[in-house]
Amino acid sequence: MKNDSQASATYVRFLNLIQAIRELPTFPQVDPVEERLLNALAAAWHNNHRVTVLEAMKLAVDVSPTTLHRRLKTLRKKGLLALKVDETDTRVKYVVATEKTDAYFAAFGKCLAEARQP
Amino acid sequence: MFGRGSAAIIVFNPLAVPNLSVRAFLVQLSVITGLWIGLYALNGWLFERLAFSEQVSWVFLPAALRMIAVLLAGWVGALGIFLGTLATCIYLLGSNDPYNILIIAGISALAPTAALMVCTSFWGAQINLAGLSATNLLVLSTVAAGFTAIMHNAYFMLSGKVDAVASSTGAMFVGDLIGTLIVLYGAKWVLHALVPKSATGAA
Repeated sequence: MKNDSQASATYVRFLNLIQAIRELPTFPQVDPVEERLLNALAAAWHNNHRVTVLEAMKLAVDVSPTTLHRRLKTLRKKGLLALKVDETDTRVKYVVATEKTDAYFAAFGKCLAEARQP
Repeated sequence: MFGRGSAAIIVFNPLAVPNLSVRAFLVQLSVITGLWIGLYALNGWLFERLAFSEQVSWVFLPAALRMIAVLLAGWVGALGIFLGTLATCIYLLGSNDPYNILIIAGISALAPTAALMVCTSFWGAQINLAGLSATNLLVLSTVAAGFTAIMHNAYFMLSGKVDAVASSTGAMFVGDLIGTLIVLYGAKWVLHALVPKSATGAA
């Protein structure tokens, strides 16, 4: 019985080690177009505006909607964006921030605050 | 049943002597020893050109196993590392100087254990591995690399086996840390690749 509990203890350690490895920090690499898109989205979210995927594809006037759509996909893959389906019309999807997006902007905010200090 | 926030709290103590069956003990020991030898051979094959000296490399993958083995298996892990290092030292240096090999293998096993004990003294008297965070893991990797480099090079210096102690210590620290991070982030990448993608709401 004790041997069993020792074996399960090792297994629990293994599971928790795997969890810690999964959470290892990675710096989100964002290209200039993705950065512009994120900034435009952040400005819209700040004004409590819900941005649909179609609207997001038109946020930067000098970048084609196809390119922006591709960037929406890559940002989703990186966990910096998520999509939320409209409650009444399932055809409409909103682009929403994730915890990672908040952390991304919080890091910039922290850098700005530090830069302001004499 | 098991996992974070579970009612079944498993308290980790690196000094605790595990109450394993002989079979489980031998399995854990042979897996860790085998993995050490395998990683050592892989490291030699991949990073032969990055060797700083005969015993120090700028990238040392088995360093990750030192930490993981002690974290998962405590003293059994340390013993596995000891036997693995013993085998690779005999392969590298021959068996003419058994005391030298025993001391190097001993340090290889004791350094990550000591690092874990120091870290647990800061995180609490005992570490509950269920609460192990990524930050804990990174701090432990750095401390274990530091302990290994300092303890090994202190011995090399005292036994007159190294001339440039500072650079050798620095190279071993960097090599252990890079090796550990490569293995940890490699594991993270593999885990990420194995997780099925969310099927909801494609852009």
